[in-house]
Amino acid sequence: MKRTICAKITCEVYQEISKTVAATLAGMGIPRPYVQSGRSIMIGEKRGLFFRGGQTLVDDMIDIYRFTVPLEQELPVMDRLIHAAMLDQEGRGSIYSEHIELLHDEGRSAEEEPAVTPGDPARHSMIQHLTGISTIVQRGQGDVIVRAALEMGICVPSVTYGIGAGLRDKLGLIRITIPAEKEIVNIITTHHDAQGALVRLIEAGKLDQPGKGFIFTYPVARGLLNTRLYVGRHLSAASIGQIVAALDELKGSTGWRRKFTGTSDHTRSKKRKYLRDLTDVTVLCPEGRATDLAKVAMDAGASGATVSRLRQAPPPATPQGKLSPAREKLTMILPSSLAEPVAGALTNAGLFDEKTNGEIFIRPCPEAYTYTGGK
Amino acid sequence: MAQNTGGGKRIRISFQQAIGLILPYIKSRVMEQVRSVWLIILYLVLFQILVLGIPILDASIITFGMAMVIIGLTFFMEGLLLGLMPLGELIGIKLPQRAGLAVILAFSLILGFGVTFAEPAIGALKILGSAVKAWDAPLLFLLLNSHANYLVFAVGAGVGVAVVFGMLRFLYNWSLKPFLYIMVPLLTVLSIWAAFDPNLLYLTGLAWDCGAVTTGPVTVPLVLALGIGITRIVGSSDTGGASGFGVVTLASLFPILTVLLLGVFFLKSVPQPMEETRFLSPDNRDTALALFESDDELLRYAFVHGSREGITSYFDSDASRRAFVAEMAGNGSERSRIFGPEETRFMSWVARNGAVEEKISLFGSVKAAREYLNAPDKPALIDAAALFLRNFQTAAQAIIPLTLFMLLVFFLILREKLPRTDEIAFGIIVAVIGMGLFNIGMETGLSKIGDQVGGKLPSSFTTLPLNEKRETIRNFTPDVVEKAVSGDGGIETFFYRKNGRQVETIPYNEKNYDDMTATYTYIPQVGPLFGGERSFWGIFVVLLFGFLMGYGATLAEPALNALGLKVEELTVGTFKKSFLMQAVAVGVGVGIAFGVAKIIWDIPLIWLLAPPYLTLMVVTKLSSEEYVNIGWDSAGVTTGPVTVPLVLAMGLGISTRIGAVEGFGILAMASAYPVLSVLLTGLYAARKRKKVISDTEGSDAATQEAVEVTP
Repeated sequence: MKRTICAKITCEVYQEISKTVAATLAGMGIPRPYVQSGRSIMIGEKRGLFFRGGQTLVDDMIDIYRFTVPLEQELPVMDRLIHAAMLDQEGRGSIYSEHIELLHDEGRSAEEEPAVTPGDPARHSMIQHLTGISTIVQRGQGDVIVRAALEMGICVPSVTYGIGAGLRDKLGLIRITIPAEKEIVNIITTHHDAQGALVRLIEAGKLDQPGKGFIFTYPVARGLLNTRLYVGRHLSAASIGQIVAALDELKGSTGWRRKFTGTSDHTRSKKRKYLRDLTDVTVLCPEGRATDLAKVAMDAGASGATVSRLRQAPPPATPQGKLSPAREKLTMILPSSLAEPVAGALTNAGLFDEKTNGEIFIRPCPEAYTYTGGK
Repeated sequence: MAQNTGGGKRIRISFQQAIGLILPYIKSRVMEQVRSVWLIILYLVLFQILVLGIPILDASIITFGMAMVIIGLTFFMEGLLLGLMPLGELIGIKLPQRAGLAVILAFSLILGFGVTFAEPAIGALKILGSAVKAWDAPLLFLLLNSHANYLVFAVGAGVGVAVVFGMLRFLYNWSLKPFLYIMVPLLTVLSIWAAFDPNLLYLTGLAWDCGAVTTGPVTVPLVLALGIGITRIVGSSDTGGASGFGVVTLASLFPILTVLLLGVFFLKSVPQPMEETRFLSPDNRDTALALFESDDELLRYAFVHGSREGITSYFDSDASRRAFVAEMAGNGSERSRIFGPEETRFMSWVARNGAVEEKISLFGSVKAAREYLNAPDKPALIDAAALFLRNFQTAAQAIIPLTLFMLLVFFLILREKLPRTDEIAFGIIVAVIGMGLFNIGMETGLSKIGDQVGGKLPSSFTTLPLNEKRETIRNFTPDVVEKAVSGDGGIETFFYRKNGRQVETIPYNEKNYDDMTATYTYIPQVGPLFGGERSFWGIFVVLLFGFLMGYGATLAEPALNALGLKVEELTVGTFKKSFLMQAVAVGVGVGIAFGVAKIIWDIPLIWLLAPPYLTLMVVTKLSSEEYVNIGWDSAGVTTGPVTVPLVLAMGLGISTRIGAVEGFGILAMASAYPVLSVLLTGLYAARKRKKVISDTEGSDAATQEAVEVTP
């Protein structure tokens, strides 16, 4: 097992631009990104017959590309992608990077490592010090969170699907009565707005009630976010989104559009008991293995996990049938002290053997919240 | 090893906790089905009571049946989602990894061929074909009766080839569009060519309906899941999130081709359509016998379906016919040898149409013959045990061999361990139970009311006798008959009857008066309810009925529900299930309305099929691959176990009333229009999306950059 600190870059684009991103990545020597289907939501005009002027949510499919690069390649790679997919234009997609710890197979051959060609000097400025907020709720409840996020005007939320693994799998056949399908809403906000947004989302999703869901934050190093929150007619020379993006670029930060001035302290007085000092352990493995691995992790102390489906092209050298492009992602939020034992248990369970060819991403998770029972 | 670690500690939960979990679960699932079927149920009931103004017969049995439909659908859907679909998807994922191309294709061929035999959909077409007369459409008659096996084989071969092509598509990442561009024009041209041969003309309706019917509630989810599994392994990322569809489309197109080819193959061996008397005459015997197994069968058919002239022509002369009847009267064993279970049909034919001597020779007296006819039909008691047995047998036949085959492949060829065995086993059992209950419910509930409404529907634009309200008036004498001038100057006869304290007028028809028993048989009539005979509004109501029935029935279709769920999941909620179902339901409604129009005005099917399919070629060209796959597949799925019996009942009701040769084609229409509605809504949605992207002036510049980067 090898550990490296590296940059995990996430690029979310509308499907129309997906091919451009794939081609650009391949051109840079990153041919095997993980790809997940997601949904992005904007506010749209409702042109009803009777109720004019309402608002509605407009859904579109996006492809979410995730890949890791050495830290020194983070900026050039992101820059190249922004340029190729024109992500500096609003309404095309978002890109952001996190600094994470990557655990992978020691014997991974050198040619499998992305050989990133150095890019041009940076052309695009990005916003720094961001915070990601992930909310995991029952399937069908995601739109409540999405609407709250959009109404705060933070960024375009992206939604993915997952399946809960945990207690349910130990119940025997009666487990089928408990729905396992989850919806994961992901938003990226500026660091100073994160606390306010977190509170707002907890309230919107009623996450302080049992069985409603789980929310957690994670640090994001830098990014360029899609600010096109609204689809409809433009009556001015530039949309508010374009103006915001331009000002962000000029100022180099988003401090000027801080939203929750002072409110966060006020809401904190409700004495919500946040879970702190957690670690997000994300395991990537072939299709069908995630449930087994979740059981292993739970025996090592994890309390629950979410499984999502991804695709990753197998390395070209792999013989047909050895590794399948269908992959699964297992996300677990653990107390930091448990991260090592869980990673160890997964290693023993064969996560890094040749057949499984798994990977583990470890990132800090400063704050999380869910119903923890009692007063 | 990972496989056997963990999960050892199973949590036990108390009985109370279990009930607390199970009750809300059952409630939510049942409510889901109630939401999907309430519209069609309420609609049929209200239409019959309020619009047609006829009370519902056997209301309690029908209520029971409808409850069974809901419970059955609940079980069946749960079984699909827990058992059949996960199994299909598992095989789809493992197949390309573990098996070579030959094995995959062989598996597909067997699967496609097998599902056709498993699902008794063709039986539904046979019912519709029961009204087809041998002399009107000999080829159609041949394929629906003595050569029905060939028909099933042809459809099976079509579906088998379709699944093979479907899998090849996934494996080599072929677009669905070229298949459509080749198949649809080919089928259209073939159907137009067929329209010039009177025999083939009648077959086109059956062929297109076969395509629509074959893809049933077990086949579709299974094939769909299989495709989704396979594309997870072999699909490329640029086919969009919703890949794995398209097999159902091919499985609805190929059988049309094979059935038409089968028709061409047998064309030479059947006579041209001709007059009934000529068909049955001894000169034509050799030709006519090509359609029947034996001379006795032809004879039996003549007595059951033929007119008096037709049967006389069979015997060449009136005298020889009488001789035959006399012989039958004298020889009971010979009679039952020839007529078997249809003996009663022979008896009632003689009682109704026979000459006086014939009646006397068979029944002893004319009065006895009359009484034989007027004897009230024995109320058909539903044999509960037989009902359950038969329906569960059908359900087991549709599901169990198929799942056994898939499990065998899974264990023997793929050599995999089945994950979540308990869930999958439970799912399969529940699916069988659900389908059995659903079939019972359809038979005793929805189909029954569908038959009642369908049979009475023509009263909207024409007069319709109410046979079940027939009454016999005793001590009748023609002296009471009066005359009246009708609106258009003709003379009509009627008589008064005192009923309690009220006096009512009853139209008099000499045919219904029997002077030997001094009775008058009165058959009340209804309609035309809206204006005169074949009035615009009367026909409009029928078309509207067809539209709303198609709309409501589609929302209740289990296979479409399963498709909708999968589409929603694969597009991460972008393409909502409810949205897809609405689009499809509107399309089906429009299609059925056109299908009804086809029967009422006897329009050749191809004139109604060609325009939507030609439009579809253009719309398909404009649409994205993703929408094309989903749109065309949802069309193949729509005609399932809820829609088909209802449509058939309506089609049969109208076509027998109008005297159309065949009532085929409605289902084919119901498949064409949903594609159009789904693709058009897709185009509308895509236009909005494109606008946002093109607002940023991106597409061109971005593609250029990509090209620049690639080398």
